[in-house]
Amino acid sequence: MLSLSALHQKQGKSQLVKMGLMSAVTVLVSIFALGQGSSSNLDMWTTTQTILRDIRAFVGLPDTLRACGYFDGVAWNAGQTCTNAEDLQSQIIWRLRLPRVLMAILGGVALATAGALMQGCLGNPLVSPLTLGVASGASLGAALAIIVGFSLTTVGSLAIAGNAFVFSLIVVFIIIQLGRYRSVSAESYILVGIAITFIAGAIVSTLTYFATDAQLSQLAHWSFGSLARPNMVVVALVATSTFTLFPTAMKWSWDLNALSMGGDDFAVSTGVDPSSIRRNILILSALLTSLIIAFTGMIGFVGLAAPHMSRILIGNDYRKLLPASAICGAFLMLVADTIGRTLFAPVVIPVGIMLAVIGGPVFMYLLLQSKGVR
Amino acid sequence: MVANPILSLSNLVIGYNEPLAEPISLEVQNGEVIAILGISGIGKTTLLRTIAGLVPPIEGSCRLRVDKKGGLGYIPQNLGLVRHASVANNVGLGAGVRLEWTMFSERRKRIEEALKAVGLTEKASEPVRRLSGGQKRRVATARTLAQRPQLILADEFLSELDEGNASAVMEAVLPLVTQGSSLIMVEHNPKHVIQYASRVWWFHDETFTDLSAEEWEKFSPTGGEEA
Repeated sequence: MLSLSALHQKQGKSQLVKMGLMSAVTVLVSIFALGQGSSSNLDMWTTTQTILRDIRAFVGLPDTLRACGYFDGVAWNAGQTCTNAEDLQSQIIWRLRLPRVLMAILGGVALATAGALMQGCLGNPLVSPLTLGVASGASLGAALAIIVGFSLTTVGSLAIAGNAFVFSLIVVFIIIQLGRYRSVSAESYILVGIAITFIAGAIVSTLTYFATDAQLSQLAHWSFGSLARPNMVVVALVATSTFTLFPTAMKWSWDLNALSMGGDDFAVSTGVDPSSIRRNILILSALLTSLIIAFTGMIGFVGLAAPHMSRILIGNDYRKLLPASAICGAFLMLVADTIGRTLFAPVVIPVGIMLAVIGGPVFMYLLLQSKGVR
Repeated sequence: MVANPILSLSNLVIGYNEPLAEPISLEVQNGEVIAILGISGIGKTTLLRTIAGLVPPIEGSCRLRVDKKGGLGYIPQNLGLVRHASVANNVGLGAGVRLEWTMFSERRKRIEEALKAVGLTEKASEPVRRLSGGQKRRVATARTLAQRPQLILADEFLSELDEGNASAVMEAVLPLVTQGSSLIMVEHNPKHVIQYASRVWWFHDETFTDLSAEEWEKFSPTGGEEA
């Protein structure tokens, strides 16, 4: 009597299959991405063999890798410690490509989840993680660090990323303060976000007016959005935070369903407090966004496109839409970054640009398809 | 008990941009049943929606002391049911009942209890769109009951029901009240609710008058019946 309808169960199965397929494809693409690059291109089988061999070596014989200087904190020099080609191959895969591939996956997961959360709780399909102004805060922080040399973090290597993160947290704080007012409407959040974007943009423009050419190019580089910067430590940090925040998002997925199904009235009648859930979800997605954007720079498109693509594939149930968006985001980022760094190798096109160039047309095609336009 | 009201309104001015009434200062204790009466269009629903947090107050404050998820039950006038879903699934939509972190057996138990209370057990697998207006109202009531809320806000949830059904639904809600939950209901027809209400908020000429049930009996010749 209380079981879900047969249709629902059937749908659920096909949705699970779709998600499984998407994640399998993402794993395959990441193996492929690990083998591709400007130095040498391996086919997927060789890459898998290399990875497995190294894992076996790492588990059984850490000395092999230690001999190559894998655990050394200092810059690694291939010519001195690793003489044969196999070792060189492993070094490139583990030290250069793995952080990049992992960061692409994490960035895609976090930004796409944030985008799906925000579109759901603000009830607006145009919203992306950049809408709330978190990214503008980050770019202001980066501009201050690059041009003025002002940074709130003392660690030199983290001057730009750390400052960007702190400034994006300031925006998160503004959102928290805004949420304290009872019944702030979804529009107010969006408008405040746009206002923050304009304010931060104006300050950044003023700063660039006084910047030198070198500083300008550094800032431009930052705002393209690139996955080259993060190292393994950053990746580990981001991974831990993302995968602690994601279950929280999943926990709120039903409340989000209630909110997006019938608006505030429906939410209250199913026992959800719309203003508090909206505030919590926005804080969560702002945190996810700032975490990624601080280390990679402006990557916006994945947060807009991945949730919509998953919506076309999976439907509107946030319990499934959130993981689907995460997988879809990871896939998009990974493909965009891999094409970006292999297409004109050794020149690397930043992932932010590649995403828009490749993802944009695919996104438009999917949208038009689902509307039945030919 | 008096010191800790579940709902306290202090100098609350309700309305959309324009105030609809004089400032309201009232308190609701656990286990009270309150009927908000008055002619339609005067602002009863706005008051209820302000308490539910759906309409921001123009001035003053409205404090709810609801400490668990789903502690506020709200039965809106348009019911807010999912038309294509079954009765049981609609009842299972409430917070604390949803297939979320709720144990499956607990969820099943709550849905069955709530459906039994409103007398819809045999309609459980029927889609909501095939039910009559009165039955839909009972589904919405069951959904709120299954949440086990501390405060129930009901907007004309008896209005489309005949005498028998109305009293059956009230009988389903009353056990929660005896367990300490409070009920605030908006009605334009006092006949349905007056026998259950412990207090009446009589909305007239932009003022709320807080009356006990006995006072309302005396008062009713001047404004009672269809009001």
